[in-house]
Amino acid sequence: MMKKIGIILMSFLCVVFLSNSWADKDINIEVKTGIHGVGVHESKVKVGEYDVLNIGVQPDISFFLNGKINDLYFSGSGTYYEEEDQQYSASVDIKRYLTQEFTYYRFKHWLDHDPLTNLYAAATTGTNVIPPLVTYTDIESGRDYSIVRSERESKTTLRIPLELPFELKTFFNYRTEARWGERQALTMSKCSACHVVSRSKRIDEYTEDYNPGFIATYRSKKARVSFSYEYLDREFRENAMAPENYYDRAVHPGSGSNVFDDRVQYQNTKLPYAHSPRSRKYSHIVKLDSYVPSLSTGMFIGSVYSETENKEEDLKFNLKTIFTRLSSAMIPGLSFNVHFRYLDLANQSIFVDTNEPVSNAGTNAGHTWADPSHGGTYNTIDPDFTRNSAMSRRQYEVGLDMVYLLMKGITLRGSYEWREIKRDHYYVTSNDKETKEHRAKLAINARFKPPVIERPIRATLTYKYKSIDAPFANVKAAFKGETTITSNGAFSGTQYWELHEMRNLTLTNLPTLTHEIRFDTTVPVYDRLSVTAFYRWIEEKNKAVEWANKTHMPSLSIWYAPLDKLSFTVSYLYKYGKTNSLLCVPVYDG
Amino acid sequence: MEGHTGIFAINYLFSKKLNFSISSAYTDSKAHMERIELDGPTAATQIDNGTNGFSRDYNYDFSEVQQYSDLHIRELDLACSISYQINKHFSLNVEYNYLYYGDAKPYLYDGTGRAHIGIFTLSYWQ
Repeated sequence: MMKKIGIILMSFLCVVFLSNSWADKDINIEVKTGIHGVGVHESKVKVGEYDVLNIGVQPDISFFLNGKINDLYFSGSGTYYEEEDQQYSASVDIKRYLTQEFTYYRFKHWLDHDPLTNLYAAATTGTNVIPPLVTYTDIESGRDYSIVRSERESKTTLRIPLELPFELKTFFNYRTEARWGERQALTMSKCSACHVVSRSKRIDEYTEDYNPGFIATYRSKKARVSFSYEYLDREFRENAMAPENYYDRAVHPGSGSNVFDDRVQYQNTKLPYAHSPRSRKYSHIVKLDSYVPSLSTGMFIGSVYSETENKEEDLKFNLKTIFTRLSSAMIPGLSFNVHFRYLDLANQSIFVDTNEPVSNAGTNAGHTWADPSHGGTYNTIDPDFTRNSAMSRRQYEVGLDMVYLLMKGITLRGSYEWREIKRDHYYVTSNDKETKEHRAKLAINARFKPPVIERPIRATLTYKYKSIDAPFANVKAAFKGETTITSNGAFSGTQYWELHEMRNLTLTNLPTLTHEIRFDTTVPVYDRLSVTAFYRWIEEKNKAVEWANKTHMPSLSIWYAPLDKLSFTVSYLYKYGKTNSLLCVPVYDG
Repeated sequence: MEGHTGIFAINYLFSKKLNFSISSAYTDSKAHMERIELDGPTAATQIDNGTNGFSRDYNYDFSEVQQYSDLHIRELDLACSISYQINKHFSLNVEYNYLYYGDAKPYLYDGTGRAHIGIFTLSYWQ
């Protein structure tokens, strides 16, 4: 602690001393140093979620500088508040040929610790006692969890000093991101969460980016054209070991007999869980941007190809996208953009070869569950399956934006966008894999002087509309109706997979229709009094699933300065929201 | 869901060298579920499972479920500061910050907490 105080004090004095020798140079510097003391009562997880809140007294320092020495321009800033709360930035420009930027930050995030006591909510006492059928063990009960996050980024740009018909710049960006600390990791043992276990999981994640590229720009009186290419190589790895859990033997909770051995994937063994796999991403980004001043029109085309790979399971997903936009202000008073986007996302399918243990004893002895030759009368399926991804899709988007100057001080804005998502494998209705969206927006911006106030008032009124046909949904979300099940034991009764297949209701919590109105205005009533009002109303509906959401958000701010030396600011914000939704009653939930 | 947020700030220049400011932000937010209404029978159904030695009621009564998710959070962030300009290069700043997070309807655990932060800063600029 004394060492830290000494270092910070010496740094402050050095800056003060050195700045005196820079008095005749074009350099500005500001430095602050001091101490801060912290006291905390009860829990600090919520009251200071993103604060370090170390109890006691700590020194701190911050600085800001900018300046110029000959053809070298530089600037920098930094704050050291706590060991886990720092940020720095610096930039250097040498004769406009070489620019270098550097940023670094680090902060702490406190996380919750779920005590799991709600799992006993299904238990009852009294006449008909139901013991807790879902139990839990919190290995490190009451432990505080937090993650420290840091990012370091360097950007280097070099303008090639050659006599070329165009300007050529190359750049190299490097970034690392690290997260370390502990968080809670939960796992379940046996038959849909009969026993939930909580353990601490160490986090030691590291992401590293290499991002080189170039930009070539041609300029003339007739046109400006710019072409750029960049490559990104990103690697993510988790250096901490995954926690391990002992998965109990799956015995009947009442009799204690070993009757589930042919129907569980693993038991009576220690296995890792909550593991974050190592991944690698490569991407190529190409852009072409042009502008013709005589036509006040510009054209942009961009394309991205990327490949992301799970290095531990040899799984990949590829992304290909192309985006193009035409912008023009040829017609006086009117400017518009038209854009088109195509996206193709392909996520690899994987064949899941499930573990099919052979039963040791009981009715199914010597057989797997899926083997019908033992004499049982239940219906079986092949438990192996191919996991196709709901991410895989092709997406098309076309949009138009316009801004029109109605009269002096009043602008009308309008936009329309059509989007279609065609999924490769995932159904969003019983027979359709496509989602279609229409989005429209209309807004008016006004800046005018009303007669009484005689000061410029600014006001904006916006209306947004969205219509979505077949939003993302689960087509086997729930069962509605009546049915008959056979309850003659595990080997002649209705099976769990048959109950799942009976589900006949498509449900979602996404709307098919959205309306939004937004209004804000600032009124400078007097030189010393200003009022800002804001209102937002959102209504979302999906009649097919009886889902609806409404939100109101008005707010008012007043700034008043009765004297030159005294000013007040008062604001009030109210938010009201209501959501109506269906409730699914769980059956066979463990 | 309903939330109220109020913000208040005062800034007063005692003199060219002495400045005082106070600012506060207070939020009171609530969320709850309304009574759940079910189609079909809601009375408890007796399931006699004699092989295990006890019987169970599958209870469709959700009349108290909505209370489990009641939330009522109050937050206060209060900051007072005085700054004094010593000369054209140095200034002093003293600040006090009070943070409060109140969990008025704790269920699994009480997240209430308070923090006091005192700050003393010497600034230099050229």
